[in-house]
Amino acid sequence: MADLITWGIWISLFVFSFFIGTYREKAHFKNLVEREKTLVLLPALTMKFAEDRAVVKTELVMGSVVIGGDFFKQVVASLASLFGMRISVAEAMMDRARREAVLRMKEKAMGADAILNVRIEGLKIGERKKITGIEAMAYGTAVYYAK
Amino acid sequence: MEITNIETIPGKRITTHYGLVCGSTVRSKNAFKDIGASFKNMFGGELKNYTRLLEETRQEAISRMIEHATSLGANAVVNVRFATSDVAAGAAEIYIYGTAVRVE
Amino acid sequence: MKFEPNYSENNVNVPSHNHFREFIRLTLWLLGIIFGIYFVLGYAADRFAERLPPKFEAAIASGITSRFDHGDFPRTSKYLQKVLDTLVTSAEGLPPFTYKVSIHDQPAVNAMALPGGNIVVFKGLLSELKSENEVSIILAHELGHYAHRDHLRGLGRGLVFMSIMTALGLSGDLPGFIAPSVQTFDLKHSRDRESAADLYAIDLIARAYGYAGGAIDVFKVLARQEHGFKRPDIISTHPDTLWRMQTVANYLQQKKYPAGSIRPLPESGVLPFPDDKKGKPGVVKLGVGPS
Repeated sequence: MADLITWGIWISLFVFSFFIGTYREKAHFKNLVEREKTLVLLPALTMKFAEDRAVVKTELVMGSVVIGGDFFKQVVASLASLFGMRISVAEAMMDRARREAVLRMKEKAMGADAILNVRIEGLKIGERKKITGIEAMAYGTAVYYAK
Repeated sequence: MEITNIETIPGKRITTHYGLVCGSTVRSKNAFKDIGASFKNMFGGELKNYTRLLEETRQEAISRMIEHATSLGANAVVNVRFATSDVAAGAAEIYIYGTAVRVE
Repeated sequence: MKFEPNYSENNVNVPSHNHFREFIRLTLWLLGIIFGIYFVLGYAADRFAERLPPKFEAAIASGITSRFDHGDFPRTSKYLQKVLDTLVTSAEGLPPFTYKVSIHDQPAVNAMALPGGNIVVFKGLLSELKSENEVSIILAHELGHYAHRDHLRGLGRGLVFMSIMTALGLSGDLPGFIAPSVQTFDLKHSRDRESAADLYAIDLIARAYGYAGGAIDVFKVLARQEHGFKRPDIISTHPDTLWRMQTVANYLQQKKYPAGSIRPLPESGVLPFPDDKKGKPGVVKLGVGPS
């Protein structure tokens, strides 16, 4: 009987986190696409120089975010890690984190003409076995060209 | 598609740039193959499985970045950087990013 | 160099958003692999258990039996031992152990066959027994497990199961659902063993006493205990009691064993013998191996 209860709790937690996690992920992706479209005019570049124009102002900008994993994703990731394959749940998480970080960096540089020499870092937060959270951090130099 | 990790593509002129492009893949080791690796761990030496796994993973990340750049209309990616982070136990993320450009 | 703002909505880094399909596929793979290993190793463990020399078994037995403290019921134990000895002398195909019976002071309705010929009867079960026929059926059932080497199979399979789980690193948090599903599957195996032991018990008491009366009564005891709390057949280690009664009844008819008389219990007619409180009934079980 105790087994049944444990099993029941496990399954309901699993199903619950699947639905909530999927909903939030979809919403986040939609939100990312919208914001990226509005910020598409501000380029982020990995190069040190872009256009041959006089620069009037530079500024270091950065953006970071921690995206948490849910129970469902943890289960799928640990299953996938047995077989040696792509872990698409983790890919989606990393993608969300990195894009969000770049967006936040761009949002800090509102009014700039470009962000140069951008670097992006990723970091796992949490215990060895679990995906507790993923931090992504983007930084670069925002430049303002002379008008 | 030309990819470099310097600012330019020597001998060519960059006409247009399209901003950041990236490719990422998360791959995990195979737990069953890992048993072999743990034996090797006693004696050292190259873990061929792992070398191959990471190579494949990088290649996949690169091709994703290329796909991204192509969809923007670029024909080269310059100043490319690799970043690797561990996501979960036994899994690694390979992330590659650069600036998509058009060269002539 | 000029800037051309382009945007591509196609997400190259996340090719699929269908995580659930991935989960299902992975689970099926994993279950397939575990079942595969389990079948092969489980079969090997069975074969090994059948060939394990009794001497070696007696050596490993002490480690397991020491987990059960032997309750202080010297006179009851002596009586049970007497019944057991009668059965053992007329039993066939038993491994050459010194069979001992001990009473475990627990309210659970349970009895088990531990390696090395140690039978443990729980106090909860004893207090339900109304005649010597019933006592002998219980003991004969456990002897049946020894004759079929089930007590070792249980250990062997458990060991195989644990090793697979540990090898895959699954014993911890992750797929909490995989362990129960493999176990559920294994229970089918366990139920077959129980049924075989039932029939062995009938044969044995028919040989020892010349009749097989009271066999059905034991299952009535079990059925009474199950009343109000009946586990679905698939998750029970023991076959549905009614089904067991039916099988035993059919077997009795087929073999045409005489019903004979009911032999009462000595002394006051209750087990364990006087001034013992009657324990609360627990999970209905009559089985092999530590539970």
